[in-house]
Amino acid sequence: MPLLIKIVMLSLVLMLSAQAEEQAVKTAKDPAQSLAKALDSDALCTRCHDENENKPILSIYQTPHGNKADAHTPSCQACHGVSDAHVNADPKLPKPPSPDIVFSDKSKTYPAASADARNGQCLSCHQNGLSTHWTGSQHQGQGVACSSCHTSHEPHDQVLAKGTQPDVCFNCHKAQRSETHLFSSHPIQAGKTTCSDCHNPHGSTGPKLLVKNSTNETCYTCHAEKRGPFLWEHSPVFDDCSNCHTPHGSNNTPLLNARVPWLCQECHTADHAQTVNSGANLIDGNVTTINGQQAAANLNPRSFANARACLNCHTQIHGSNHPAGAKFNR
Amino acid sequence: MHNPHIRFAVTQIFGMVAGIGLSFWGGQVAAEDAAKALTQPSSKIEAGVGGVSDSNWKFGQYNGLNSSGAFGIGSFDIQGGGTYDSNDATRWRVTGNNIGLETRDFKGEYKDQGKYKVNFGYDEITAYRNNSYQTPYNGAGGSNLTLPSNWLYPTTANNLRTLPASDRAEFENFNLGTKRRRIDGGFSFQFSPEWEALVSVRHEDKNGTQALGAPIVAPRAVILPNPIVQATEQINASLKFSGTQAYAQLAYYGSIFHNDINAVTFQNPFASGLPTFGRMSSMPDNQFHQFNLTGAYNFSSATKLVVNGAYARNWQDQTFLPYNTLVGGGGSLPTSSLNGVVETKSAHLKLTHRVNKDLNLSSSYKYDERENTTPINQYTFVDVDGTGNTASVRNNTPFSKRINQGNLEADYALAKGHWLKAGYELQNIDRWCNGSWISCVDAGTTTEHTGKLDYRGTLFDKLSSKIGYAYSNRTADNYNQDNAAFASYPASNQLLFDKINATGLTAWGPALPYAAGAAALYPSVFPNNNPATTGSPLNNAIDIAGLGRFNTTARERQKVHSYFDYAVTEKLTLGLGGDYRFDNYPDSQFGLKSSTHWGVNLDAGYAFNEDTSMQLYYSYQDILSKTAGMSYAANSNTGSAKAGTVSGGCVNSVLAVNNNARVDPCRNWFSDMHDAIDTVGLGIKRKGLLSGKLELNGDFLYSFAQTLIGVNGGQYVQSPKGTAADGPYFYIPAADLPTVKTQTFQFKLDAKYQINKPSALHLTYLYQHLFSSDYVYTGMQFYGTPAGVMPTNEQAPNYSIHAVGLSYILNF
Repeated sequence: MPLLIKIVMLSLVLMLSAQAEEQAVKTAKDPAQSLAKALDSDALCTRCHDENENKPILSIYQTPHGNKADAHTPSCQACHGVSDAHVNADPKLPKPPSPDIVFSDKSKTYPAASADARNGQCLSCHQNGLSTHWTGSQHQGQGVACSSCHTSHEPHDQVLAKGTQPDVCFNCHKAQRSETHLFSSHPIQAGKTTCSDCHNPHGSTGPKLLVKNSTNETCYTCHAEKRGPFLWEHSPVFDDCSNCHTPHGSNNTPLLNARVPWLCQECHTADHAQTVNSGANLIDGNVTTINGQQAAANLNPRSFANARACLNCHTQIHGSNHPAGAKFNR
Repeated sequence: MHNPHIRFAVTQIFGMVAGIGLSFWGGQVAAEDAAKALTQPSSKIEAGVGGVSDSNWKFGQYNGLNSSGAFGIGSFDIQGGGTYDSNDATRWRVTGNNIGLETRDFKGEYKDQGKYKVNFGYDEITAYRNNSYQTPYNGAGGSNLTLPSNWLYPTTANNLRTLPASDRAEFENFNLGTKRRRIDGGFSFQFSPEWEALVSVRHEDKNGTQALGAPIVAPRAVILPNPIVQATEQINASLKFSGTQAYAQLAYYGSIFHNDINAVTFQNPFASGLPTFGRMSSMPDNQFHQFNLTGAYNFSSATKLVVNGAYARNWQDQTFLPYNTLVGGGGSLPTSSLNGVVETKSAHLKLTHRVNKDLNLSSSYKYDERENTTPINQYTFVDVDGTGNTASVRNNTPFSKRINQGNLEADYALAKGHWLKAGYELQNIDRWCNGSWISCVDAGTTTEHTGKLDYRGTLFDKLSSKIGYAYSNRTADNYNQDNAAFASYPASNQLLFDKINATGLTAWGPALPYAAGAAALYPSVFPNNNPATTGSPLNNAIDIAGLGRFNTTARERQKVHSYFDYAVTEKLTLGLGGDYRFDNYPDSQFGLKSSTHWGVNLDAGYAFNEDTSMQLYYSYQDILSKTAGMSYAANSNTGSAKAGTVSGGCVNSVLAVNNNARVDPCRNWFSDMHDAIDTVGLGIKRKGLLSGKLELNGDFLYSFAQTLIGVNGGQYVQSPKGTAADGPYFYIPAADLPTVKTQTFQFKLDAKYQINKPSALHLTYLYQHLFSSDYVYTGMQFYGTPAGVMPTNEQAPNYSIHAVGLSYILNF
């Protein structure tokens, strides 16, 4: 608790200093003047980069970045840099020098600026909110640039649409691409769940860039019924949902890391969890004894290994609030 | 065009063609149209009809195409507001998708950019479950399930494999599945360029029916159609400040869960007599409220500090059900409801510094605590609506956990385009139960050290690469696999001692002897340092000594990841990636001993020309979990020496096993759970057909997942003619499980034909074939069900389904 108080106090100091800063930077702006200025500024670029460009440069005007009536909207040079050498180049040159900041990794004309340089341009406006934890995050550390995922000139940025976002993420996360096609999965392929429902790719305080502080808090945003607290808690459940579940897809329903009962036997060796469960326990399994006789037990398959196995009985495995639910079977 | 310099481009064209009268006018109009098309948002409406060839719950599980027949195709995306170069910053947009299906969604947004934004949404998410599920219960879908009036009990008591034919005829299909409906709304207001307030709310209801195992008279169970009527409200509110040097956010998150179903009552199908009914609890109502404060400060362009602190309170206080369904409810409860409270406190601090353009440093600290302050009480253990035993009393064990984690990283440019990152992480996790008489967890503290090394860069021209390695070592203090079980018994409970005596232990813990009813000697820690519990693995009370629960025991982890991306030519790109993770649990003789995950990914992209491109990929994943156990107490019948005669195996009689402290190497078992997954994908795009009017996208997918479970070991079982008195026992070696297979073929074709500028025809075709083979379904059939489990006759889904749709698109 004392640590928390320190953190809160430090944050308050930051907020107060931020407010003081706000007073200093406040300036009056005339909207009409701003608009004209913004259009003039862009015109420096659009005189050449017009509707005839191979890439639809002008379509940025369909996006929030092109809404010039909003004084926050950046000019071309706000993102691509002043680019004096490029702007003032001799028109006779076959190729003018590169603009200061080139965003596209795939540009055939100019090399892209470093990821840090590109990101710095975006973060000059987008450092708060979703991007608060960008610096030092996993993606930043891997040299990922904002423009690796976002296409800011496109009216429909693929990564911002629920249905198409996974395709962007799968460009790097290939194993997850494969897992979403497995028998048990979240409705990712159907476009009803998307990566950013659980992950914040810009950085977070949680593990694996999860949107909340912990795995469980993230899962509870859709599975609040499993939050409890319950009278009878199952220790690996409160510990971390991923102890038993794999979120992107599994051949073991429902999204299990392994198949029941062996999943349960990874932790339990007492009572009926001690016994070997094998194909010899199946009604049509290998039941031949050393003397060629069939065992009675195999004519009566074990309930601990068949059908829903352990979950035939211990169904409230996420926790039970029944006074007689100590074994998660009520 | 209002932008003078976009207009300048047009006038350039004008100048170039000024001498050509007709061409001039046409050229200007074309250029202006082109610029307008690029700068003004377009809207779209799509309507049509589709059809599905067959019904299958799995095919339509999430996409809404679960029923054969026709369905409507409808979607829209309509936008409006000011133009980019006007003084009007307002924009609005409404969208709708899958309008003709049960997976429809709608969204709307209106904003005056830079000032405020209002948005709403509606979304339906289906999760159809097995529609071959059968149940004899009347009232399926409700919370009171009764058997048909003519229900006969099994001819062999309690054995549902002997259900009379008249009972089997009572089983009827009931479609399982749930549907979520979400309604959300949000509002944000920008007070100034620096200050913004945001509020959003989401209501979600989830309705339907899921299968739920419900035991009655252990170990017998029925699989109920469990009704789901739940709702969750979520609220987010925040106040943001964004300065150039500092920014901060104060936020609130609330989540309130409500369940309309308190319990499900079901009639006992196994035998007459008590209990006539069983009762399952449902998930209780609960609430979670969190306050979150984040602040960041840029000391300079190179140094930044981000701090975050959060406090949350989660509670649950739903009135308890009685212990059982009998008159009197099995006795009085210690309290009428849990009064369960969990407090979550977290703090996160991150300092990053760029020393120079070649060196970045990062350090972070994380504190995350979930403290469960729920009171501990003593509850009579009444097993599955039985009569209960007042001598059997259990404590609840409200688990708490605290994470302290520190991280240091340095990212250094070895040369231009070559980065090496080294990192170290220390994670310390404490687990405990407030008020528990002994430690309720296997290990009170685990400590993990992780070292990481990553390289990323361009190895040679057009070959970019990433390679990383990480090694972790986790230790567990005073690990004891029995703590949780012991903590669940009150210190004074005679049953605890009975249980321990039954296993052959005379005492446990560091001090001897421990008398029944004595005060707790070890209130905090229950170290596993008694020779009696660390010697022979069978001198243990609850779980086998040597069991290591994988989430709290010692672990060594190695991780390797790599990716290479090679642009061979302007047209051809190749990608190769590999991942490997090996977890070893060195102290675990039993339980999960190790797990290995590895995978490779191959990608190739080829652009034939501007109009035609192709993507091909192959992925293989391999997951292997090795688990061990020991059937130390099975078949311990010592009623007579004859009964214990064993044929095969490692001993001549069961008695011999017991005389050897139940040690029998033939009953040690090992299982290898192995998942092998192949995925192949091919996508082809073709534009520019039929004079540029037709665009085709084709996607092929093949996924083949296998779960192979190999088991070594064995067990002693009686022959069919054997009786407890006569024996003998036979040793049956364990056998591998039948391979679980899931094979999916999928082909998707998407064709768009542009009739004229605003109009297009859209044809979609989907073929999907699923073959699944899973032995668990055998145990759900009348012929294959375990004696103590009610069959449901569910079938593994197998299908080949075509779905086609034709629609008209209007762009405007």
